[in-house]
Amino acid sequence: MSLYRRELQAHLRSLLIWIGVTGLFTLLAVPKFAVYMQNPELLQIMESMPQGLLRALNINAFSLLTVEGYIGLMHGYLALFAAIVGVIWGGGLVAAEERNKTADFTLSLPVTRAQVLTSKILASVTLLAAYILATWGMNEVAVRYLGATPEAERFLALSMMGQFFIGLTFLALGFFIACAAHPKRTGGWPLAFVFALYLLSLLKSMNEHLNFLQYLTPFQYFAPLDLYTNHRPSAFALVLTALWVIALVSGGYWVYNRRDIGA
Amino acid sequence: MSATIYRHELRRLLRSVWKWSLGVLLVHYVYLPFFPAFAQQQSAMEAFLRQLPSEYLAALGFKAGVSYASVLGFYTMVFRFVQLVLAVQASRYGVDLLSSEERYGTADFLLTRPVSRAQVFWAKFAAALSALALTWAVVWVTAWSSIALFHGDSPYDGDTLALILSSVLPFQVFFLAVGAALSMLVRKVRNSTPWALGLAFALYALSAFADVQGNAITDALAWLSPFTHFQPAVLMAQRAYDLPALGFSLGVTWMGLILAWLLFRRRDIPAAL
Repeated sequence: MSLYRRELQAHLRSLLIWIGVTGLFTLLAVPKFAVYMQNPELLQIMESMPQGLLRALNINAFSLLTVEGYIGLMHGYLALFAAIVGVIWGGGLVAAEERNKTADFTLSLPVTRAQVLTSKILASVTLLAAYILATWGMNEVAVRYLGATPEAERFLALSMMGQFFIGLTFLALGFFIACAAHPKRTGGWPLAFVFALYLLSLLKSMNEHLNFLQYLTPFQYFAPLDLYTNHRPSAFALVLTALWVIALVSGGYWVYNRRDIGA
Repeated sequence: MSATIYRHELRRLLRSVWKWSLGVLLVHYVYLPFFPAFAQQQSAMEAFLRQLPSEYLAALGFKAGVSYASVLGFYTMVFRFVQLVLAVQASRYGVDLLSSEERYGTADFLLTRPVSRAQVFWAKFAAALSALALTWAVVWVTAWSSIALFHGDSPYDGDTLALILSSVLPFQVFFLAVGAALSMLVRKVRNSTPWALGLAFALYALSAFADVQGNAITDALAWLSPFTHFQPAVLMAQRAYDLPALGFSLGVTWMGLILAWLLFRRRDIPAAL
């Protein structure tokens, strides 16, 4: 418990910085959307367009003209942010001990290695949850300002839940990598994974022959268009996320318990 | 400048340059093969869209003068992502530039050598600059080669591509200088990754919707970011740099560098335990 509190205190500043970056991002995006949404002429043009055609072209779903469009477009960026904070906190809390040469101190305390890891992973999940809640709060305000509908509110809730799970998957990935090797040896790999999987996710939306990629990258498990049309995350997304998280976290415990951690 | 320090630093940086370069190469060679298929879908769609009023097109994310069915229009989307990766790399080199020796406890060793702090500073800066220039060369080669290989039957203007690719070096040096200044402003950098990411992503966030007009404050804030100064789609549409923005970018780079030097010159650097 005291380890958990200590970790939360130590990373409060990092949490606030990332909430700040996300807040800045939201604050900058909203006025841009407002320009379009509050322009009656544009809305009129949109209403006069044949809906079937627009849907076939897939441009009606997320445009700058609807609140749902705001949520859908923000989702892509916010999911990347969630993945980055996930991988930073999931790995950082464990890796910091070795990097700052305090691992021998912490591990010589009357607690088992597993207890140390449990406090750390609980602290990083708490940080991620706090980050997502703050993001949700800021975007709730944004959505109300832009003109909320019950449907938009529900979509926002789904999008935030999706981001939490995406963040959680990357948190588990960062955790595993940090448990498996010394931070000097892992270097930028956790981040490279985030970028590579994000890249694959963007690629999937570009070409329909690449649909198999949706099983590979967590960013696609909770794709905004699916959440929007189905009103819930797909079962396969939840199962795959659970599998990833359980495998990576238990793998992390397993290797950390057996690793030689130098003083 | 000390040649020994320069060589040592460059050799250390080269170990990471090849990884970042590989990343840049992968981004190009994973995306561009999909261009021909994408162009087919897109050109049918854009033919329809051209009938719509221009404000409406802007609201859907289309810019005048940039067709995503052309290879350079497509490349502007890829290039945005490349910029993000390069920004993280350059910020990281910047944050590490003067702070890594303190972190690893080698600063007192280095600074007791018979070289001045100015020599250390410039040798390190020159080494980081060389490492970034090398990455830039990789960007240049992979961009040209991947576009030449996969442009299909879409013609492209070499001068415009050269203009877009030339923006890489000032863009990188901006993050290098600002990152270095940032690392000198804080008491101790324990881990450079979060700082580098924070810097790169904060500036990316500033410019994320820069091409859509908002109110005066958001537009002014967006204008502060190098992601806005060197927006590939704008470079492509205007075929020239926005000179005030370029000047501002270079000005901030110089200020960052001077600030980093002034703070480093007088910094209290503790000996390793």
